[in-house]
Amino acid sequence: MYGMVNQAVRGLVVDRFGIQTWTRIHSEAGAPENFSAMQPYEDSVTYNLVGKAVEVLGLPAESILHAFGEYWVLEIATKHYGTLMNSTGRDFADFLANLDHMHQRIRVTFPNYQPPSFRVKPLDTTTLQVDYYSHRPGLLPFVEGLFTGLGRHFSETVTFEHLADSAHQLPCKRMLVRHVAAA
Amino acid sequence: MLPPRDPQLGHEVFSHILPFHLIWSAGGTLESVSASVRRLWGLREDEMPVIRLERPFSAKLNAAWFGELTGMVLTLSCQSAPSRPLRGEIIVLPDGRWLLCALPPMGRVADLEHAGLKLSDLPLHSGLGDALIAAEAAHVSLEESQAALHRLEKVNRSLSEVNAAFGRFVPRQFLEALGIKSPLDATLGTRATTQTAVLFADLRNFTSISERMETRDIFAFINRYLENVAPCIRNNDGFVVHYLGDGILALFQGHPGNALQAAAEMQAAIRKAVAGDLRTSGLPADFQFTLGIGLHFGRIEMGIVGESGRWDCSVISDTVNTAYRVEGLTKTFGAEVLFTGQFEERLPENASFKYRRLGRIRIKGRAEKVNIFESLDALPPSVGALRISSAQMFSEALAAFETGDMPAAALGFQRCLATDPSDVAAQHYLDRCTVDPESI
Repeated sequence: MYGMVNQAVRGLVVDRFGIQTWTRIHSEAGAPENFSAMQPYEDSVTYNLVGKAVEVLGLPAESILHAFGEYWVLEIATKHYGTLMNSTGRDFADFLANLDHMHQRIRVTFPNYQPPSFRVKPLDTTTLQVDYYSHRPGLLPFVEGLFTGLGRHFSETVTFEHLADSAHQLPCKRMLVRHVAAA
Repeated sequence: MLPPRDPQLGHEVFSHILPFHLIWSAGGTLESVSASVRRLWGLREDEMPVIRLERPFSAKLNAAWFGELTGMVLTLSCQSAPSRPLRGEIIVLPDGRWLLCALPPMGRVADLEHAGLKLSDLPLHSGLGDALIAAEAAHVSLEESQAALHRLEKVNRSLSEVNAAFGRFVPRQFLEALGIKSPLDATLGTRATTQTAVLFADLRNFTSISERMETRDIFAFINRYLENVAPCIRNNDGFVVHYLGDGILALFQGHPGNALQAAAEMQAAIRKAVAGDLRTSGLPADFQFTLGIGLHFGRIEMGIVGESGRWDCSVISDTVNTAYRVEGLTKTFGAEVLFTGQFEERLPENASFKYRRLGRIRIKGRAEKVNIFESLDALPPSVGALRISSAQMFSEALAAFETGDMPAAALGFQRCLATDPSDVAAQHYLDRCTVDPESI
């Protein structure tokens, strides 16, 4: 993964738990203290960081991954890549529909980028059927965190309903994503 | 999207607009592979490729999935040329056929050559060629930036090492006391006044012994000795201002208890080192290790002194002179650590330090006599225990001595010596019980 993802892991830990906690996590995980956004890192770096964060913070991996996803959208993407965010979609549904395209277009800049794939099919005005494809296991809570952060960015509340793999033919995680204007 | 069989535009125009395309029948049979794709995949005119889907998942392409894959960005590869994939989207045409319009995925201009293409093979309207050139420029800039960053990191590391080396010559705390954050901010004449505890330590008789030693042996011994005692200062929030041969001048800007604790630890460290490997080659066998430490508290002037070609950090103060003189008294009283009344007044009331008053003593350079105290914590534990047990007797004898009741004083000091024959201070006073106390 590119350094910008690991930057979110670092940022969240430092913001919420302090620099000393981050020092412990990254040193025990054998990861660098800081990351260069444009540099690719082995996926194992991210997995090791999350594993060590689970151990040090005493929180479930799902909660940590969800928080990382939300933090990435709200503190990294909107602050550093705001223009790109705005050009991808005008609201939550619009953004998600164009997410696959956006991921593919930035591959010119990030040649080693291996993003997940999303197929988004609107079922009605507040429900999207989302097919999530990824060769990286265990990151569904991270995706949920990203979508939750996106919802907050567009002032919408997002909820998830996961469908069983047996309900379709393709090797993806299928979910119904409901989004309504935040109260 | 224009259908490929549009009679007005024709196949040639369609291929110019979408050079990399494939078309399947509504039933999923591959009907057409464009010339650019054939060239990319190295296919003969009549050869139909075996196609694999690489993204969003890896499998042999199944036309039955087309409906579920529309709207997604797909990556396809040919079994005979797996390293030359195509990336694009599948669209359903008005007549029900499936059209894949794609381009080879590329990040650098060099990828063109790898795909067997020229820049002109990419349609101008796709913008991919422009993006590749822009990316090329960005990569060159990035590589230059990374090279500059590596050089900068190397310089930073070197500067950090220089700073660390500089800090070993000029203590960081000294500069901080002067309000200087960086050595570069130091100027000749920068000075500050502060109230602080001063420690002066000296290895008794070493100077005369060293005259019989080789220079290299002197350095080897002094460094080993300092290696044992100086950390006690640092560990108690003090810092060494100067090493003066075997002498040490240190300041403690926290409370004076730190200085007294450091002094006791220094004595313990030297005793431990003597029992260990402190004796280096060339040191006379008859040399007795006795470390004298004097402590005082008062105002000091710290600053940068010198001239344009040579600077030094310096402490100019009567407080330092007094600490030096008090250290000199350790020989007179057979003591290891002595401190003044001004120092004692600033010890925390609840501290558990054990010490005894040795009386008001005249110190060279000072008009008034100074109260001097002896630390009992700094003594070897067995000796310290004896001094503690005779402390009350010593105090009463000293009071008698100071009021001129010499018979009572002599009796008291004799009783102290009966308890602890090594009590040099008691012997010192006993010897003077017949003389005027004012001459002490």
